Amino acid sequence: MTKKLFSRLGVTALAGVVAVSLAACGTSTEGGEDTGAKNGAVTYLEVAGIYDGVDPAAVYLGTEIAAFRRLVYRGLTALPITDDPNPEVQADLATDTGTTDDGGLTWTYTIKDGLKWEDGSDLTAEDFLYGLKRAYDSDLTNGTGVGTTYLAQYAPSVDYAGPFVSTPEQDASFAEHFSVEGNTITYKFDVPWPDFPLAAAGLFTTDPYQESFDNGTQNLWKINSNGPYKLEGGDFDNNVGGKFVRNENYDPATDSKDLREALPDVVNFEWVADPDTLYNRLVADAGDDQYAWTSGNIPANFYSQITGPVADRAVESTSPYTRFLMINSLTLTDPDVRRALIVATNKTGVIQAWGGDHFGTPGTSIIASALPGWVENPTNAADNPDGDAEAAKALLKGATPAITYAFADTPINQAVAAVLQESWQAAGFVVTLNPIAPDATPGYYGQVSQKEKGFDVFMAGWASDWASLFAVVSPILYSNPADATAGVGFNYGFYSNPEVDALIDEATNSTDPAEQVTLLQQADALAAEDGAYVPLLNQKNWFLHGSKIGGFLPDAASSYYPDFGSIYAK
Amino acid sequence: MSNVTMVPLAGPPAPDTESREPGTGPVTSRSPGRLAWDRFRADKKTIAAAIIVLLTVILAILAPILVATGVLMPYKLNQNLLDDISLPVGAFGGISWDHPLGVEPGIGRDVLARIWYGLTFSITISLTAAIISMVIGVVLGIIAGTSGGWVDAIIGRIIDLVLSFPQTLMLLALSATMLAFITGTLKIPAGDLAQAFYVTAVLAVFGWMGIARIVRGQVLSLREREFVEAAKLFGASKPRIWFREMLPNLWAPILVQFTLMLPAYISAEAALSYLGVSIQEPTPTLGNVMRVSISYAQADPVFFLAPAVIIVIIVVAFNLVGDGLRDALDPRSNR
Repeated sequence: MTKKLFSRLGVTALAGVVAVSLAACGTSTEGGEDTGAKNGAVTYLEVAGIYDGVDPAAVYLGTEIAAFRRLVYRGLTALPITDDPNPEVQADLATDTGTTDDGGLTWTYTIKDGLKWEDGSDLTAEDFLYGLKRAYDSDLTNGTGVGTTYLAQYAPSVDYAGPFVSTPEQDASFAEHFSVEGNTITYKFDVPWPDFPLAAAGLFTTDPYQESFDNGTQNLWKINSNGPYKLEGGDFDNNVGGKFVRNENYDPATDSKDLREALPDVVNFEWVADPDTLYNRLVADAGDDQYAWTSGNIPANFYSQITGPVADRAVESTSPYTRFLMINSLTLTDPDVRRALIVATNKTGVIQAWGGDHFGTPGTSIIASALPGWVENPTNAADNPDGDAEAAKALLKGATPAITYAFADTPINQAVAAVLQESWQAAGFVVTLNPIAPDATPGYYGQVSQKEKGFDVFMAGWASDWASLFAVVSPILYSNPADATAGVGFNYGFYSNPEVDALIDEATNSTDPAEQVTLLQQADALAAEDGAYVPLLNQKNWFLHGSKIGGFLPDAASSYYPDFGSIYAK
Repeated sequence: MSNVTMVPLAGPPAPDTESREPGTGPVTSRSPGRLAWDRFRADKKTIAAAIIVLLTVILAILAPILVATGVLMPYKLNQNLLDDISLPVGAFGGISWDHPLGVEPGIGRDVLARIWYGLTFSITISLTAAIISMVIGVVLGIIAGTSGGWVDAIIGRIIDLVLSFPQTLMLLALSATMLAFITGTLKIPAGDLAQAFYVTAVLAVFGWMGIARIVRGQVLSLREREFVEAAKLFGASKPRIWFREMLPNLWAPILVQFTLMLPAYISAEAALSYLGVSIQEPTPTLGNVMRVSISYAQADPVFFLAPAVIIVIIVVAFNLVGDGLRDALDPRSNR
């Protein structure tokens, strides 16, 4: 879900979301002596600085969405806690998962009664519209803008800039599409959105926001909860973390244990300065760290320590992430050159640089093998995963193109770059490396999304925002508008193929789910023949948690991060 | 009485105070330089350190030649030498005859080759920066010392100002902007050269103050001497006094200070490289090898310790040589 995960330092990108729960030291709710009550405090550990904000309009990080969806931000719908890889979406704040009479062009939701914000005031249907309005304001979204990307795709005729800056015409444009009557909200799209209930569950774009709480960009680090917990102190400190305590104004009767078991009395988010320190603590499993867990994957340099009793606390799971390299189609225009690059890539070596088998397996597509509807991409499946320099040379016909490869500068990414460089140079490419510093401005995604880039291929990763091929193929491969100066969706490579676009359009307009899947598979296959991207791998998750953590379940609802809804202290 | 010649007895000849023609009689007085050299040689510890320093310089010069001829391969990936969790196969980080210090986890590069080649870059940057620093410091120190008055005051305040800058923080914060300036305005090709230029410039700009102050102190004691007055009387211009009269008398403290500056520069360069400011991978420096190896402290201790130990040895050796030089040239100062 969170592509933005990879905009972080590589280590935290590996780590995924490390939950930092501030250990509640010395309180009676530690549950250390196994009272069986399961209400002890738990600690979610994470590398400091990982969040870019806690305002729902600005949240796109997968681990952040997974955490807050269970703790503080309820949505129209939500996915349940289950180990089923293909769970059914459930109603959360709405009475049902939404009704549509026209194949997904219009969706209607009725809001439950008795819903309250953390200050006791009522949560009304208007709050949902207000939250949606805020998602259009680029100042509030703080550079993520994912909600507006999807909204622009499904409701392109809406011209709206946000509740603080809109003109009367824009208000009218918004009101034409999104309106409230009593307890009922109506969403009218221009293009059918059959997956809308899934999108409402997986993103915060359609979540409610209390207008009286709003302070614009000042609220970037403030949480106003409608869930079982609230943030103590109100402000989240991205250097330290925060402490989540029970929200007295939350009524469990309006919620379901399938979505939020809310067992611990306190959930501490503890930010740690550095990933090595964090994992050393988890491995050591001493004191309060026994009640700690993280959403980040175990980094490669710790693999040798995951043995014996430590290995008992390590959990593997599928991951929705793929890693791949996006090719800048504006500078590498010859499909043969692109295919040569793909054929020459040493995927096995790259995976080994990343840590080997525990990190991932060679992949053939931007679509994760865990996603329903995935098939082996026929063109890429025929390529040798170790890289084939001779075949690449044949495609290049003796030419030696000069290319530049960009990536986020971390030691592991440097190692991966070394492998890529070697495999490409064996085929005749002249490779320049362009590492982008973690504190560069603009940041990594800021730079790679620009039309004018100065590099030809760059590292990327993706997990679908909801469990559908639409959420992968469309954002990455659908061509950008002609006047775009930055990639729309995730098509930062500015790939443009009218045939691929046509297939995606056909799938969007189709009402048969099976047909949609087939068309999107064809779109991916076609893009691969054209050399749109360099597939690398399907990631695997490998998590570590403290010995007294129970209910540790990486599930589909949380993008295969450990579910915050089920976790408790043993 | 007169015409009595001394009869040479056994043992060292007595100083011949009567005949002073050059070449007659044994020379027993030694020049200050000779004295210093003898003192230096007598200290075993310093000699050992000096050998290490010499060895370091020779190795640093050899490395590029060995890399060019393919004997050292700091960039070759040997992923076949890694196990399934990407750590080197075999004990002690994969030590073998082919790889005396093992290989790097994840990609299998030869650790010895990387450290050895990295030594070249680190030493080159540190040496260049130290020389530039020394030149700036000496020139400003001499000017400040001889001019006195407001020139001295201004230079003194500049020294205070530069000393008060939080050097490392500034470097990190400004690196992106400065690199853009270097590659854009100064037209230095981006990559290793631009980064090395940046680090050298920063180290030079922030390191000259110590030597400037020392030189200024020495100059203050020299400028009242008669030979300086004589030069002034003869109408010597200021620069002539600075560089033809003062400078030759300052070589001792300058040399000592230089030899003591070098290890500080080497560690500073390693630190900057570790923080990611200096030359980037895949080109190795001692610091950026450490940057990777630090995460492997438990998983691959040889990889972790190798660059650290090398840096320690070099820095200690340079420091000992500097101390030995100071003792040799100025034995009155208390250790």
